Amino acid sequence: MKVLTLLIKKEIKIALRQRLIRIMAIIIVLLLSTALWAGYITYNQQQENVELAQEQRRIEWLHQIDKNPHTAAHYGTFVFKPKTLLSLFDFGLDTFTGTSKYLEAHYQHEFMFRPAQEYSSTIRFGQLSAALVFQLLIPLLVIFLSFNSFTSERENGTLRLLMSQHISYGTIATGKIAAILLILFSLLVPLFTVALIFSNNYINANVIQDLSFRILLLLVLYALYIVIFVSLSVWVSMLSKTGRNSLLILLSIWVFFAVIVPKTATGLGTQLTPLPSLKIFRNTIADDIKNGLEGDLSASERRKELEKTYLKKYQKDSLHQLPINFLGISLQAGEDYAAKVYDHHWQKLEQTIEKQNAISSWASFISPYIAIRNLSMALTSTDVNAYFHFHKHTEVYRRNLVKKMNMDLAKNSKNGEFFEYKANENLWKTIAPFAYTTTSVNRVIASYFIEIVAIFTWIILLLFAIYSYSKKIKASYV
Amino acid sequence: MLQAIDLTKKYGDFTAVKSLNLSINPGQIFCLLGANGAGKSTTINLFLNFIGATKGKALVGNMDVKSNPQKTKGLISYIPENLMLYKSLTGLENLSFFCGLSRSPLNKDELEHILLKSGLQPDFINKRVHSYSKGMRQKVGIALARARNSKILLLDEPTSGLDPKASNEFSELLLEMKEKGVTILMATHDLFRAKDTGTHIGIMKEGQLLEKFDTGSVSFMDLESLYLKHMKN
Amino acid sequence: MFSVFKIIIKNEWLHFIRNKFQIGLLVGVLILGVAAVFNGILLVNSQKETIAEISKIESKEFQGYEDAFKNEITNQEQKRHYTNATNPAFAWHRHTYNAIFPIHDYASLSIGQLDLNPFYFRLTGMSLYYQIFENDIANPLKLFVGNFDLSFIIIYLFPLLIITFTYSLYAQEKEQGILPMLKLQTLGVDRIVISQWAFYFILITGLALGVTLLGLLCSGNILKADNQYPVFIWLVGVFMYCSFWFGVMLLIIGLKMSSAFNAIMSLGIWLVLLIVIPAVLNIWVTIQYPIDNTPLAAISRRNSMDNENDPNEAHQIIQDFFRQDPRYYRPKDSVSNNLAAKAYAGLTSLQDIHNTLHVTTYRHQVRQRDLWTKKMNWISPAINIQELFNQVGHTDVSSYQHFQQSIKIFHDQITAFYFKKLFWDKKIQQSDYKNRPVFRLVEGKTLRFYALMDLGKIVGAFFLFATIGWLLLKRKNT
Repeated sequence: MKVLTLLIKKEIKIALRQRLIRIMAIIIVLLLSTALWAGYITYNQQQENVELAQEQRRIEWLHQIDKNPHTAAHYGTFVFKPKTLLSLFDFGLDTFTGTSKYLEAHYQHEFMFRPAQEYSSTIRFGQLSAALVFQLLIPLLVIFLSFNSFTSERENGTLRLLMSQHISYGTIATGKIAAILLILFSLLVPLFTVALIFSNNYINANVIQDLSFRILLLLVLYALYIVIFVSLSVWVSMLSKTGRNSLLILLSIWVFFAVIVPKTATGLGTQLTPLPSLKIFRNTIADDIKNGLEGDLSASERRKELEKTYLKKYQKDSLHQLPINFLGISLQAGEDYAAKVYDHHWQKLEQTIEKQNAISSWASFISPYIAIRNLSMALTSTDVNAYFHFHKHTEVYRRNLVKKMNMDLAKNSKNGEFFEYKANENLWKTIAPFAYTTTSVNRVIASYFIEIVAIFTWIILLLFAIYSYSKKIKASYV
Repeated sequence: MLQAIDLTKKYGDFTAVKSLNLSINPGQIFCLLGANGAGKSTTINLFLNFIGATKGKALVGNMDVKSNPQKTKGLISYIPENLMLYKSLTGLENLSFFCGLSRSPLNKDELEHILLKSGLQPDFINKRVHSYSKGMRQKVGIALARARNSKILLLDEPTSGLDPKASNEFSELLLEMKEKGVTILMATHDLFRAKDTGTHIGIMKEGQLLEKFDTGSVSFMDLESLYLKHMKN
Repeated sequence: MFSVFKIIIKNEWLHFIRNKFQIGLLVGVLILGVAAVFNGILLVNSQKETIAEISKIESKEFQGYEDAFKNEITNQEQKRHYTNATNPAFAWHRHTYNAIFPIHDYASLSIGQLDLNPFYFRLTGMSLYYQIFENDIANPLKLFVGNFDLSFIIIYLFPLLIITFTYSLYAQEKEQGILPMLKLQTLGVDRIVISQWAFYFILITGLALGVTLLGLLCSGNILKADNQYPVFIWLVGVFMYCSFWFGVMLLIIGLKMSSAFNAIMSLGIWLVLLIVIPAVLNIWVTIQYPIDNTPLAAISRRNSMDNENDPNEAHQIIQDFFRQDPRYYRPKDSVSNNLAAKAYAGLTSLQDIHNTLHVTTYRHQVRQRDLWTKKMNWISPAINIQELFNQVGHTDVSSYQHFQQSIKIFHDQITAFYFKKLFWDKKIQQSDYKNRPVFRLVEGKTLRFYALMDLGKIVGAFFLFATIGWLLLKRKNT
């Protein structure tokens, strides 16, 4: 143990004396602070805008003039995607998912305004965020810290000297890994500790669930990422003859992990399972509503059936005799059936997107960067699932709103009446203000099983490789 | 052919070569003897124009290397202590590349012949250099000097680290070139080799040429005691 | 001189073909290049398929209206068709047009913002802003990762190839001890190194141009008048961009440091130009030009009159509308026919007129960001050249804004077509369909001068770096 401490001390000393490492560390800390600061500013800006807009739409809804409830359902309202606090750390897909949506009767609108549309195409190069620094730049720091860990000792001949002190190869490797990890964790841990303290005491983040737990998991996630890169670099350094070789191999691996695999995996995914275009998607839905899904009746048949049911229920022979406004009932029935059709097609669409992304998920076994990227987005609630979840939530809200309006029309007016009946604020008030909370962190973890397995596979394989190489080396050449 | 006139090289306060006067004619092998840091390599580098003189002149074929760098380079071939070649190329390819750079008109067969004559084993000619021993690389160096038809050969510790057999072969190659009228300047600390191969010997210490004589004029024993005497003081 | 150059090239060629790693890398990048070309083509083709399908739906719809004139009206269904075809009170909001963005042949090589923005809009005479903000269906992860197209290969991967092939020129000779042998040559080491550099320049730039030419040939007819300028920009751009990187490499080689230093240095520059600078610029522009799109969401609402049966309200709206748009003016007593339809038409048009300012402001903000980014593009040739490729393939932001402006004009033509019938109480005749509005992209100024300026910046950088590099190389070692 004493030997190990000695080795670690020596490694840290050597590392900190390298100018390149110091410069690199300073640049990374600078970029990281800029990223967090900028992330905070944009988070605040956007969150304020969203809150204000949501409030305005609420006031507008409550103070709309008295009108027929179905007209009010068409007038509808707007929902805005709130920013989650952690999005200041990892923007994730927030730049590329729409931010607002119009909710009205009959139609499921798509989201409007992807923030990326408000930039020149330069946005596709990526935006500076703390996550970008952690995912792309810290691994480079790791590489620079460790590519020479064994090669320099081999080139200087100090490795033989060390071995002749009756220190095993495994101990030397452990010492090196521990030293590099210590240096990097001293960068990582304070940042997350501050974030944790803030999240517990000062910040009221009502959009995201389990904030502290998420921060803790982010810390673990990035710590594991660093472990992967440190072990990889040390292993490559063990196998390489010269520092130059080791550096070149590691830099090539970095490019492969962070640039080539993500692009090709996603490109492949989109080619294999293409998405329909909105108009085609809508046309299919419209057709299915009109003609009925397989095994269902057509729209006109459904209406006739509905009439029959209601006449039977109230035991009358004409709609005019019903104590309710049948228009409201039939509008709602139409709404219900449209919802069924929509859910059917939306589910298919979701599955297509999931299939596209599954290729990326599996690519985690080729590039750990992807696993970390996906999990980081998941933990900060800026991933595809968060988008789906929000979408579902808005749809539930819309259906509830429309249903209340239609049922009010049915209950409180007579057949043949439309403009004659006007509802007022009392009805508007029954619609709760729109509020959104993300899913719980447990559900997040469950949907990223592949990535989690990939991360641990990487770590186990790399540690095994280092360990078995250390064993083998004893006998032969140092 | 090779001439140093008051040749001096200073690095700051340190004088590597001090007022060296020297003249070597065609058909002579001049061996510079001396300990590490005596200024032997600096002298050779000055003739090569790898470094510039602080004072004095280095003349190659009566031309100052500083004012006629191109022409003088054309006359010289150089074999450093550890001659390095492109490892992924074969001996023949290396030779053909370097000869090509100096616009040698020789074709492949002729180059192969020269390599053989320089003592490289036939089966190594088309093998990549990374499988060569040091002696083999030195032979490619000699072959290069021959192929370029150089009038002057500068050698910096060419035999250090060679086994006696390889060393001996190398000496024979030098003697062969001497016969053809090549001017050879060789830095070495191998007294025996100097006495055996050289026509003239100079002893250097702290940048100065202390002694200069014909090899024929001293016995090996005298040479050794002379050398040790200078080294002790 | 030439024969010596030939010998150096031959020597370098031998080195090149014997290095399996480098060959593998080169072949890998070439394969990725070809894959990227076809990936882009497939993506654009699927968009073109969608366009074909949409156009088919549109022509079928209008064919239906024309057919309504031919058939004798015998049943209810036919009567409905005839009404839809002839009565402007229904036609103005039921007839669906499509504004389709003409996808350029070379959009596939640099997809830019093409996948981010909708490339067609379904338009009726109703409120324009209700119809043009909704996004098409997309996988946000795919948008985030970006497109796997030729521009990605050229901009990201070719610099890496250039780095791998040239970082160790001179340094390798120095490290392997061959330098003295080269120094002895009458030619001069600087010329030898430059010749080696030139060899890789020709090899890699040639391959880049080859892949580009393949892309250009596969994506369109390079001789078509419309394509000549993009072909020129692509070929010259690729050449210049590769040159720039060779310039950078010559500068680094000229520093005469170790090959490990060169590798770190050049990858560092790659990282800064391709990841750090764009990321920082993107966050900077976000903070400097904040855009709030939430007010825009509210104007995309479908509005209706408070009471369609109230003639006073209807007249009020129509008179308001005439004041704003006197083209359709009729005296009050001659608008009573189809009053509700006219009022509704007036209402949605009025809404557009009132909201134009919001939209103009928003677009102005986006343009400001775009202009600022363009102003900053000299910092990174990668951004510069990407923008240029997007520009000539019409996949940049200004092309999209152009599309939006054209849509406004088109929408105006649609409303004019129907409103002239509606407000003047005329039926739509069969002959009118021949003159129905057709979408045309408004010819914009092609800023060729600026494109050349952009290329000029890259050329300037190349000459600067290459010259410094050459001077550094010539400098004598002490």
